[in-house]
Amino acid sequence: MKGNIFAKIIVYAFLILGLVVFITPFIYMVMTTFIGDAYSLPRPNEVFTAVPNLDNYETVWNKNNFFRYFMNSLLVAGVATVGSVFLGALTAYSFVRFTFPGKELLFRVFLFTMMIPLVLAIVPQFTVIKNLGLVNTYWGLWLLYIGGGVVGSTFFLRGFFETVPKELEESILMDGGGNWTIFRRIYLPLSKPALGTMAIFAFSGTWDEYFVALTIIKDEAMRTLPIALMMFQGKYASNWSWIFAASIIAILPVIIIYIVFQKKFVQSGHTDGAVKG
Amino acid sequence: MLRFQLSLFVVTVFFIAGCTNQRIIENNDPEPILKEDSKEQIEIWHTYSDEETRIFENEVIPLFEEEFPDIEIKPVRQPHNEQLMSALISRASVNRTPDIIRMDITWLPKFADLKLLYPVSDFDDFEEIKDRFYLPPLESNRYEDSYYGLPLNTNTKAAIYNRDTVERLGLKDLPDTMDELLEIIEEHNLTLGISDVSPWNSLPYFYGLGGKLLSPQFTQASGYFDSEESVAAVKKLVQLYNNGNLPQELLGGYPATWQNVRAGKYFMIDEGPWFYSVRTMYDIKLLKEQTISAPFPSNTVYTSVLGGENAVITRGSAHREAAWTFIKWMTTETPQRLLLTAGVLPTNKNVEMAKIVKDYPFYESYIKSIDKTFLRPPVPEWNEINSIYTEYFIRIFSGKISAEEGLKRAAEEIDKLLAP
Repeated sequence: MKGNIFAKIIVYAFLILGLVVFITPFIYMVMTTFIGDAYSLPRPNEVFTAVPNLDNYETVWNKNNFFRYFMNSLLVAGVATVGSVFLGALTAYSFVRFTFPGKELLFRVFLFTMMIPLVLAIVPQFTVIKNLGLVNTYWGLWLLYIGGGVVGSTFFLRGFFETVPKELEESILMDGGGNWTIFRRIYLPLSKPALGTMAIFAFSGTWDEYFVALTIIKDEAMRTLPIALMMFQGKYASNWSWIFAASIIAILPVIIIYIVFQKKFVQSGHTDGAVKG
Repeated sequence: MLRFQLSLFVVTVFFIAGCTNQRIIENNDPEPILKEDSKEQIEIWHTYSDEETRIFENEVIPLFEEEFPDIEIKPVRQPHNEQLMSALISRASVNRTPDIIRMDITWLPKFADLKLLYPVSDFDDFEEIKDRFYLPPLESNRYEDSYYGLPLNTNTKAAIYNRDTVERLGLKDLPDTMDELLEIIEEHNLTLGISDVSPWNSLPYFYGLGGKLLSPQFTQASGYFDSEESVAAVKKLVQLYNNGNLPQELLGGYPATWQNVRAGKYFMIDEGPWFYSVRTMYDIKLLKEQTISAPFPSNTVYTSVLGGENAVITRGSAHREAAWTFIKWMTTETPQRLLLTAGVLPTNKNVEMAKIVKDYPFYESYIKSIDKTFLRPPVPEWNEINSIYTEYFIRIFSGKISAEEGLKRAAEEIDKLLAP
């Protein structure tokens, strides 16, 4: 019993230490937003004596079209998330359940595209987008975001779909259902944890994306949030309290998405006991 | 449940999107020119700060459009960083660049080398207007034998001293040369607030102590960066660092130079005009009591490093003449004076500075220095040289490698980059 308590103390000490290490910069960041005009990073004594107020948040929200860009980002990231998870699920299904020539080769090509650094790919991508007439449109952004996202979600979901027992499909087939019904009635409901996880990744990936958006979007009114965030960073002097306040607002949706989907986060066992014997 | 949440999310997203009433689908990038009226529209990408953007867009541009009713200016503000350079280069590859870019002076050689810019020295009246500029900012537009832009605004760094310390030491004159400065520093065991060892922050000291980076034609580092003078300059800096005369956070931390010079922890820092121009009036008053500024001390003719932005015309621009008209106009006295009120130093030497200096005395040290600034080597490989320089300085300062060895190896690496 004694040994048990001792072990627990060690485990908790480690957990608390980890918590402190991870959360301190975040608290520092939040506290900095309460200071006015922090053109150089404030010292700990200034930070921890700051009186909480929302002045900087208000300034930031009304500056540099921040609100507009926030909404633009919601639209861009929302559609890209739904698109890449849904298309990714369809693609993964086809890789799991259909046999066709060159299946594995195609899958490897998929994986290969994940390994090309974005900066290398941007020029050819931009050329394609331009030829399609999609420069300076959200369609152009979605094409790149969803196109890139599908690869990741296919890779991730294929592994998950393979754990779904084939016998479950037979019940649908016997009732006269086709692939679409199997996908909708069996695969999607049983893969909620994986889809939820994928949605979190897809959303935060596109929500934070800066470089592609900077290249494709030209109109100031159509810009996304990361560009607005960078705008707060001056070339020579930056007001850190503004940058941090803007960053805090920017991570709120990601936190909300995480809270919504976290119950599904890497949870399994939906198929346990689904098939007898 | 998940499906419900997902669809709720989608509905919300579309609902919000609808409310903001923005162009999503119908925006097929309409060609802005030749629509109804015959106005020629030119687009300029700039990286002005908040206050500068306000003056540029609300005061400067309307003034131009009034004077030149046939030309319409469309300004687009961009964040300044490396990604902007990559974005511009990728857009240029399919000819989708703006007509004018206001870019950092160190970017120009790279863009000129990639043949993305139109040489403005090909315009007939270039020779005429050339004389209106201070020489170093103008020279930052030259690549090989042509000029690829006009200097829009300039800056350099001045020495900012803690006033209390200057008075306590009874200094009658602020140091003129690097030797005088170091004598004071070492005698009274003071700290010089250098932010880091990157060229932008350490070159003024390295050059000030007699160090050299490249040959006069910027073709070679061996024989210059590893010369005796350079080794001696670096050794002196390392000695200062080891004796505690430079911030201990120099190599990886964050020396809070702005705060420490005010508080008297640092004797001197070197900083651009933005040290003053971003402040509130009240804070500027306080700064006047706490600090005193002067041109950066140096043992050579040059004082500090030149910064600033040039206006360039892209090679693909369909409105070359109109763009030229605009950038020429931007370097005349009126717009230069308007932007000066936001702390943007003019490149036109005819801009009357006496009154400005009376209102804002802190500009004086900067204006005095502009003629004596040095350019960072105007080569397309500057970014890479910048990294090599910083990396080897860090290794030398941390004692991992000797100054002789470090500078020799750095010079070899730089030579490889510069080799044709």
